[in-house]
Order: sequence, then structure tokens, then C-alpha cells
Amino acid sequence: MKMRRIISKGLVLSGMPAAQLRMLEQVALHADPSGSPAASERLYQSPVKQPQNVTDEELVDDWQEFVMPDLRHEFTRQLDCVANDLSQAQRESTPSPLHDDSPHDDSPHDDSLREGEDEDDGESEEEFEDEDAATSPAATYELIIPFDHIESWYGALNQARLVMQERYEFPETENLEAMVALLTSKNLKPYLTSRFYMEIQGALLDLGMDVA
Amino acid sequence: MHAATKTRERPSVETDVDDSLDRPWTVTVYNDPINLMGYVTLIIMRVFGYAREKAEKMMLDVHQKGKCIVWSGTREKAELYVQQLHGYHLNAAMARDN
Repeated sequence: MKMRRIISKGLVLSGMPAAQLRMLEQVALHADPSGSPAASERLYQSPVKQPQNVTDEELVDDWQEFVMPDLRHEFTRQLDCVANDLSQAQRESTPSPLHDDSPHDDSPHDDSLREGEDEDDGESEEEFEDEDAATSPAATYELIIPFDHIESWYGALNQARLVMQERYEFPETENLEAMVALLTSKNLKPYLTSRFYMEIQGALLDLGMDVA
Repeated sequence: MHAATKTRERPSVETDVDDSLDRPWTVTVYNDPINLMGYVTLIIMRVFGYAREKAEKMMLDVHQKGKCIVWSGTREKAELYVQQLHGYHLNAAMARDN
């Protein structure tokens, strides 16, 4: 998979295998903290770590009444934005030769690469789409993340990773080999999914997020 | 001595002054295994308007020491900042300064 920044479109993820597209389609599922109080508490944090007096308790009550609804609304909006973008992912006509699992290309921005490209190609392709081919492991997809959706994508992926961290209790080590050795059959796949989300976040951070 | 000119002893009144009201509130960012270092720096810069160098130093404190007080001031502003940090999923909380 390759991620490029194209001024007229946004961030373009191309050569994305179907398995990776499916992982992205599961962001909302993984971001749901239902059944995990720890995940809910991490996603919707208290403003004070340990309320020590009446003032702190009042602050926590006010927070739950006035702030948390706003946060819930914002987090839901992020997930909806991601789902909408994913629904517009297009199957590519031929498998990308850049099927190397690297999250993004650090080469200079290649805005000119898609100049003049016929954007209807994908639609005409759909008319002849073979269902088997679409679900084939070799099928690849192109996904466009408009620039003004990048923050939502980062937030949605963060929600998923936060919830998965609490739900599956990944060991806390930055050494990948040590981490894999500590993982069990129960949390290995979620960990790899979380790791994939992190790689996408890294690319979003490098290519599309700014201070402003 | 005229009663009016007599010096009276001021009655002793015990007052329970809560000096904690004068103490500022602090906003602390805590380490967590999810948020990327570059992202934490970016959000500290964005929320507080700090220069990159200052924000990076704070981020490194969070990463290496487990937490960093990133701001102190009035309660109202602390609430606003913590809400923003939570909106960006940073592990953050406010407390009255000790």
C-alpha cells in the first residue's frame, strides 16, 4: 500500500489489499467500548484523577452532564466520517505493483502524478466487476481521505486503539519482538490490527496534520 | 474614662479561610501507550500555543517521567484545556496546585 498527498484530492491510499480495507472497515467496531468499563473510562475520562473533595466531585458531575455529551458527539462524528470515506473506496483495475505493506512513501509530494487522470475509470470498472475478483486476495483498492477529514481519521483510529488497548490489555513494551512473544492467541490479531492503525496514524501525522 | 473612649478588645472570631481558592489549577498530561510522540507534541502546541521546542520538551517529560504539568491558571481555563485534550484523546487531568 502506498499513501500519497495529492493537492486536488487529499491523501490517497492506493494498492490497498482487501484485508487492509476490511481492517479499516472495523474501526468503528473496535472503537466501541461496550462491555469494557476500563475502555469507557479511558475514552471518556474524568477531569480529575482522584476527586478529593466536594469541589472535585461537583466538577466531575458537571463534566458528565455538560462535557461528555459533546465528546460523544464528536467521537461519533469522527467514526461516521471514516465510514463514509470507506464506502467510497474504489477497487483498482489492476493490482498495484507497490504491494509492499509500507504505510506511506516518504518521497517528495507527487501532486503531478494524477494530473489529467480520468476519475470515471473506477465507475466504468464497476460495471464489469467480477465478484470473485473483488474479493480475491489480489484485489487492491484506492481510498481517498480528503484533507479536511484527516483529523477525523486520526481521531477514529485513536479511539479504536485506545479501546483495544484496554480491552485486550496489550503488554506495555515498545520492543515489537518482545511484544509478539508476550501476546496470546486471544490478543495477537487485535494487536496486529492496532499496529496497522498506528502505522496509518503515523502517515497521517507526517503527511497531513499541522499545528493550526 | 469615658466609656466611648475606652479601648475595647476586639472579639476573637475564628475564621476558616480556605486558601486553596487562591491556589491555581494545573493541567497534567499523563503517559499512555497509544498516543504517538509527534501527536502529543502537535496537540500541546495546538491547545496551548507553545513553540515546538517547549512542546517537545513537555512531551518528552510525559514519555520519560510519566507525566508533565503543561499549564497552570484559573479553573475555568483549566476545564477548557482539559476538555480539548480529552477531545484529542490525550490522557489528561486537572488538579488544584499543591
